[in-house]
Amino acid sequence: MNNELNFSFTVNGREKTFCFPPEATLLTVLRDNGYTEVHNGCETGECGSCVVILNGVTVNSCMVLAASAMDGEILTVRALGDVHNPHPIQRAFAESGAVQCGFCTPGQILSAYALLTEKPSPSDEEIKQALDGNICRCTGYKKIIEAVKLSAVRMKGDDDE
Amino acid sequence: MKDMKWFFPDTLTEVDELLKNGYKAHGGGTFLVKTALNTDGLFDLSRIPQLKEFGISGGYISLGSALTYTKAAAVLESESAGNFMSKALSSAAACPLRNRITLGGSIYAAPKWSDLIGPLLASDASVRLSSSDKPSAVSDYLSDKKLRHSGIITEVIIPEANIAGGYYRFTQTHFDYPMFTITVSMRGNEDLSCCITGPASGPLVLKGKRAELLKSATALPDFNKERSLSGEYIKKRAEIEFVRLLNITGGNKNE
Ligand SMILES: Cc1cc2nc3c(=O)[nH]c(=O)nc-3n(C[C@H](O)[C@H](O)[C@H](O)COP(=O)(O)OP(=O)(O)OC[C@H]3O[C@@H](n4cnc5c(N)ncnc54)[C@H](O)[C@@H]3O)c2cc1C
Repeated sequence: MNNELNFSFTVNGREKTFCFPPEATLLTVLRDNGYTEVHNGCETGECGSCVVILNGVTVNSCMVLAASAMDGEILTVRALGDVHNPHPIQRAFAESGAVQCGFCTPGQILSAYALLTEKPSPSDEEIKQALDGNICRCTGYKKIIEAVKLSAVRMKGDDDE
Repeated sequence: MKDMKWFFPDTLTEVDELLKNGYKAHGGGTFLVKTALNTDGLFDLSRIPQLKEFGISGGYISLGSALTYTKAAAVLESESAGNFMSKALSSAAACPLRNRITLGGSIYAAPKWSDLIGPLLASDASVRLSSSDKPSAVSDYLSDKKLRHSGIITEVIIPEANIAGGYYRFTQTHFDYPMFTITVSMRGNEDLSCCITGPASGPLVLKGKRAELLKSATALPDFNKERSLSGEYIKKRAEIEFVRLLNITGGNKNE
């Protein structure tokens, strides 16, 4: 199609040029280019499974027109760590039983990461507010909040373990 | 789908040109992405530094129209802790949306479920447009089609003294769109300025003494049915919550 745009974003530290139609959402552009860790849930901005970090803040990638993110810095959960080298938040989620089916987990972890980057010692209220756009249909939220608190302790390096 | 173009202006002069060509502003895009993108072109406002400025002078809080709900709530909270405007903005939608939704896009779109419109109307806020140096009352902007199409919103201006008070939003679960919102702005002594969003006839602004408002609180206009709730239920609930908020805002009881 000749009306496609060629725009660059930095995804997980690597600058890349993406080709997409002007009305494409960031969600479709990322998934079409292999970033399938960005989950496609509701496509209406309600579930949070497509959350990525754009220029330092969490956004629902299904609600972002990709072109508007031009030259932006995007982080997906893959940037944080993997199964061999998990980020403390990823480890805390697994250890706290905050993961069941895992569909919402990338979004939850990125919301926790954005929060803890800004506020290393958040209150329960701040955790709830930062994660209020991430819906989990399996675990309920108690263990997720516990996982964020455990992450906070570990990221500050004052873990007793 | 039209062959849509994208523009990234960094000055308001460029914006004027783009408007003349019939292109549409893009704030956070959260409304545009859900509604038909039936336009020849969009221009993104996020790269115009002026639209992200904020400050206080002469008793007025000025917020650039491209500020997001998150940023605006933080600015307002640092100016005046616990005010209803920051409470409203930080309880709207959800964090990843609040990080994206802009003031300008929200005033232009003014959806029925807005958490911004009620607080702006209750506080007698105004907007400055790219087409004029003179600010316009938000109430005029919302009702005057010509004004709305004359330019983009560049700045939201809120009288600093008017943001003390209370805010309530009615949802069945936190994440729902509010079915109604109530703002009570305190104006010294027993004078209050209130706004109730949600009635079928549009936002309702009521001003007066607490005692007078308590009387009108039990005679609100009709509400439409929403999801599983009847219009009568929502209306009754709004009346009860309005009375409650009137009694606790600036009163003896704690909210
Ligand atoms: C799932 C979901 C839940 C939501 N829940 C809530 C909620 O609970 N409370 C709430 O308050 N909001 C809520 N919203 C946000 C609301 O519905 C609108 O999407 C939002 O207010 C639009 O703001 P925007 O910056 O994204 O506007 P955009 O989508 O960028 O633009 C909307 C319109 O405004 C125009 N525009 C943009 N900027 C300007 C400007 N500076 N001057 C003039 N015109 C302009 C555009 O051309 C367009 O016509 C929710 C949104 C979603 C997707």
